[in-house]
Amino acid sequence: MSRRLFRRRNEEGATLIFVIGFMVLVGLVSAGLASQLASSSKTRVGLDLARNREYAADAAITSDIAQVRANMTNGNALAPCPSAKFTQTLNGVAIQVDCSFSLISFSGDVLRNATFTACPAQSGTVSCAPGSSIIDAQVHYSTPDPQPALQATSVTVDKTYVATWSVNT
Amino acid sequence: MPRIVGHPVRRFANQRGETLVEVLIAVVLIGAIASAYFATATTQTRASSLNRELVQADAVARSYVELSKAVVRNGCTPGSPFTVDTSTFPNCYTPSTPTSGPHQQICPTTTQPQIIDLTVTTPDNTAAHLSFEVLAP
Repeated sequence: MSRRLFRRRNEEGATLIFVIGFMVLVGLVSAGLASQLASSSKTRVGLDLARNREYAADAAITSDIAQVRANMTNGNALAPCPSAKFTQTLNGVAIQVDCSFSLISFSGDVLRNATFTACPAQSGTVSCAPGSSIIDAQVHYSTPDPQPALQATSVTVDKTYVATWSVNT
Repeated sequence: MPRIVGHPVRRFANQRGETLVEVLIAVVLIGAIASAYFATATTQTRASSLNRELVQADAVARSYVELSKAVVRNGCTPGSPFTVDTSTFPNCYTPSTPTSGPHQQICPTTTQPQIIDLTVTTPDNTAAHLSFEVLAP
């Protein structure tokens, strides 16, 4: 009797254990593959967001560079940065650009430089917080000879030169 | 002899019946699990392929944008369309821009930047979009 029970227990459990083992193995392999795929998809989505943010900031600064250039020829050469914070939305990302302008007399030449900082749009008139900038750029506005006077309110800009362009990802 | 013949015959009959049921259940279970596994694996393979293509499309889009900026920087006629050399791009990844409308690929002026909508189509016909801006120096 005991021999019969012993034998029957062995035979009944073998297939079930085999099935359970197979299920566990397949489950582990599937979970591993799903985890890897989810991770790579998440990474790609993150890279897409970073790319969209970067090109939105690039476009916003480009627009502000043109705006400053236009202001310099329209009677605001001494303070050409837009009075309101410049904001622009591209690729679904709203960007704010802070602008500061410096007028430097140097060995008889006048340097007209603007510094731009692009960051995610802030509410109201809040400036870009330290560490939140996406792109920092310094741009030199070149005027043709003869050079206009230091205090000229309208100047002609023939070229813009990007002196520095720093992308903070 | 009758004891020897009787017992083994009944026991073998019981064992055969249970084993058959177990095997049938196991076959059904294994079949179901294998089907689910292959369905999952197929989905994962397709998703992985799509993911890889989108990453490649992103690289193509970035390259296209930088080449466009270089074309504008090197000089082009404001208001006229310009072309970008895409000969080095991988096959089956097709960049395209609108041929009409405000965001088409035309050369900007020094005061008016041009926003360009770029679409890169992957071999699987998935589209990746990126808008960018160019400005004449």
